[in-house]
Amino acid sequence: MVALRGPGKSLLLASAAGWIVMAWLVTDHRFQHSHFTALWLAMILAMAPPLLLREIGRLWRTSLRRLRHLTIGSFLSGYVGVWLLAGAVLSSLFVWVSVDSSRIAVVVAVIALWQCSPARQRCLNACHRAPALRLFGTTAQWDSLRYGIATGCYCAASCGPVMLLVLLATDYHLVVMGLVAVMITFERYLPARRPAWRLPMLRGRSIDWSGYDYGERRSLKYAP
Amino acid sequence: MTRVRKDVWGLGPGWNDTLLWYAKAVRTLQSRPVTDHTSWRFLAAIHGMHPTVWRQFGIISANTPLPTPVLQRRFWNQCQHQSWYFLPWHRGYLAALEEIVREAIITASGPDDWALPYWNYSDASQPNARVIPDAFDLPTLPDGSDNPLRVERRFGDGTTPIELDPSFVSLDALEDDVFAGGDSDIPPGFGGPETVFHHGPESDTTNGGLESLPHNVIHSAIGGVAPGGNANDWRALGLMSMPITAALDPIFWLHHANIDRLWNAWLRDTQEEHVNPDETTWLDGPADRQFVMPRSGQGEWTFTARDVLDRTAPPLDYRYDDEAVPVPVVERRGDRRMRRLGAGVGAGRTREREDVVGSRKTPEPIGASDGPVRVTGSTSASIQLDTSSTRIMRGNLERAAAAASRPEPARVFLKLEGIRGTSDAAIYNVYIGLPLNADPADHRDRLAGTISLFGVSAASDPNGPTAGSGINQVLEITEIVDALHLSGDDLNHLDVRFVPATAAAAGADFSIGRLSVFKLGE
Repeated sequence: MVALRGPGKSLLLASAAGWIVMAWLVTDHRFQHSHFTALWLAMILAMAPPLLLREIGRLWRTSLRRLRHLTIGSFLSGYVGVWLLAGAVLSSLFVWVSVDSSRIAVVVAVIALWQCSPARQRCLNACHRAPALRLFGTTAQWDSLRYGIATGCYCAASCGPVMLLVLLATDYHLVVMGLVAVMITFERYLPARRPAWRLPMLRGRSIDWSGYDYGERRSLKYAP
Repeated sequence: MTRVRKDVWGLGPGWNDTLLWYAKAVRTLQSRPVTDHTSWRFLAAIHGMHPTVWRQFGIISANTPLPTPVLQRRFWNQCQHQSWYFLPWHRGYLAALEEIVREAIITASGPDDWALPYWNYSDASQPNARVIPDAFDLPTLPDGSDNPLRVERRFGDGTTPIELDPSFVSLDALEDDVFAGGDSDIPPGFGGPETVFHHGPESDTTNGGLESLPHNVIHSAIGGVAPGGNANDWRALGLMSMPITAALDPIFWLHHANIDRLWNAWLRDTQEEHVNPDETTWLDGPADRQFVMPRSGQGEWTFTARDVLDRTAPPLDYRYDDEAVPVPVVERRGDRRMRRLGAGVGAGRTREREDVVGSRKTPEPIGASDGPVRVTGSTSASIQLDTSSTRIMRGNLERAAAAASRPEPARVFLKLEGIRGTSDAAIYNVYIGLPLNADPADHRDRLAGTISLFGVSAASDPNGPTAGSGINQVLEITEIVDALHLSGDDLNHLDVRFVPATAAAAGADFSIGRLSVFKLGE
């Protein structure tokens, strides 16, 4: 509920608009590579806002009132910029993969491994981290832009590969996209956890010891 | 039968029946294996446990059989901090321990009306109030056997007996208007911010008023750091300094009984109309994980906040021997403020109630440090304030002073965002607007608050539940800002000084992501 205060409702409305555009593009034009950019932008609009409730809410609450929209704009520029680049990479990969079923099988296996990997968990954890953002002038916008780029990178790393599956599901594009959206949004709001090999969204059999990494280092230094 | 929890110093010095039976029961519980739900170690692990730390401290060995992972997940690591569940969860936790201890006492032919005593360290009428009860320091029981209440890893400030600084037992939190924290945790609220089950799963965590001071500060002050030890090395910390070991120290339970008593005292302040939250998310929460405690048999007790509101009914069934409001209200915060600003006495009353009960105002940042601040020993930092915001604020301060009918000017809060480090024992006094080279001890009116870093190491782990975001602290600085304004300060900058409150804290090394100033109101 806290996340819905401030700009939360606007984000959900933006998402709804994205899904409507997405549905229109898919049903009226069928998925074709030439429409990729439009589809990709609609997909970002549909899927990203629920993922960014925490980040946008934080920017809204911690920025100067007169700079709020600018600060959020800086963040979104960085975030969307990263996802546009990710789209270009995925689009090329899609063209290369989709011509051969054996390539598809290999890519699906690699994506499945990635979903279970500790490296991906590190990316998901990084999405929880609250940054220290400066408040005034261009430094505030620069920090916000960097925050957007960092969030976009961690987001693309953790969820980008599975988006390739969405692209590959040409006949059931919207359905698969909906399922993936539910999955990654749910996963986004799960607590951070220690990186390990495990099935995504499941707890695993071992205890997930939380807390400072007591076993490895005596102390940490935090450079300002 | 409603049992009575009594002031431990009121029971007299040395061994009295209540503490003697407590000691014998603690020994019985300590002798039980950690796999036993009613053992001392199992109960302590409900608050928090980390196998590496427990092994290092000799609480378990590498070969000690532990409960199954399923049981550990269900019972262990439940403690609620930086959350509006802090008070109800600890009330249920105390009740569970009290029942199990009483059962052990009855089995040993002790009194069936035994109740946990509380340590009222803020009692100004008791000269020894701030000294740890001496039974916790004596080497033996009257029969010459080892004293289980005495803990080697209770370092305090390095001297014996441990005596708390007067600033550590402040009851300023009782002046908090509302239970739950506001937006951005401004104000943080008496009972803490609205959260889900909160053993640290969210990235932004702020202590509630009572939790921050005296609760956290006393944890760090009693646990402390081993003499000559590195304040930044967890191996040198006392049991009470970290949530994952705190409940192993028998003094923990007397400390928390007092915190529980203060919750009740806050509610009894009828003049202030203090009430618990009425949201079902609090009353019937948390929705994402149940609070569960072992019973004295093999059973268990699941509870919500609603289940622990009536203390005099089963299964809680206790009261305190002193439930009076510890600090009778002489002058309300709002009235005090308006009087100091020069407005009529009583002018603040209506305004403040409107703030609390009426539509909640949204806090707004008006200043911040230019980047993170690293604190090592006495450290100064500067906060730049937004000139257009402070111009409006100054104008409203002047108008409020001139006309009693005007709304109360904005309240001002300092937020320490993203405190990260490894020294849970650090305690710092935070001053605002100290004159250059001034001795802080001569300027208590500039003391914004006393903070402890209890829980900071777990919150700083990049792969831990808070993803390394650290903890937040919020201190109200309205009266200091008012005083600066009245002294002619233009309020374009605020100087902040962090001063170690203990010798151990001087060696602490931690960072604060951002020092922010928020205003609440106009």
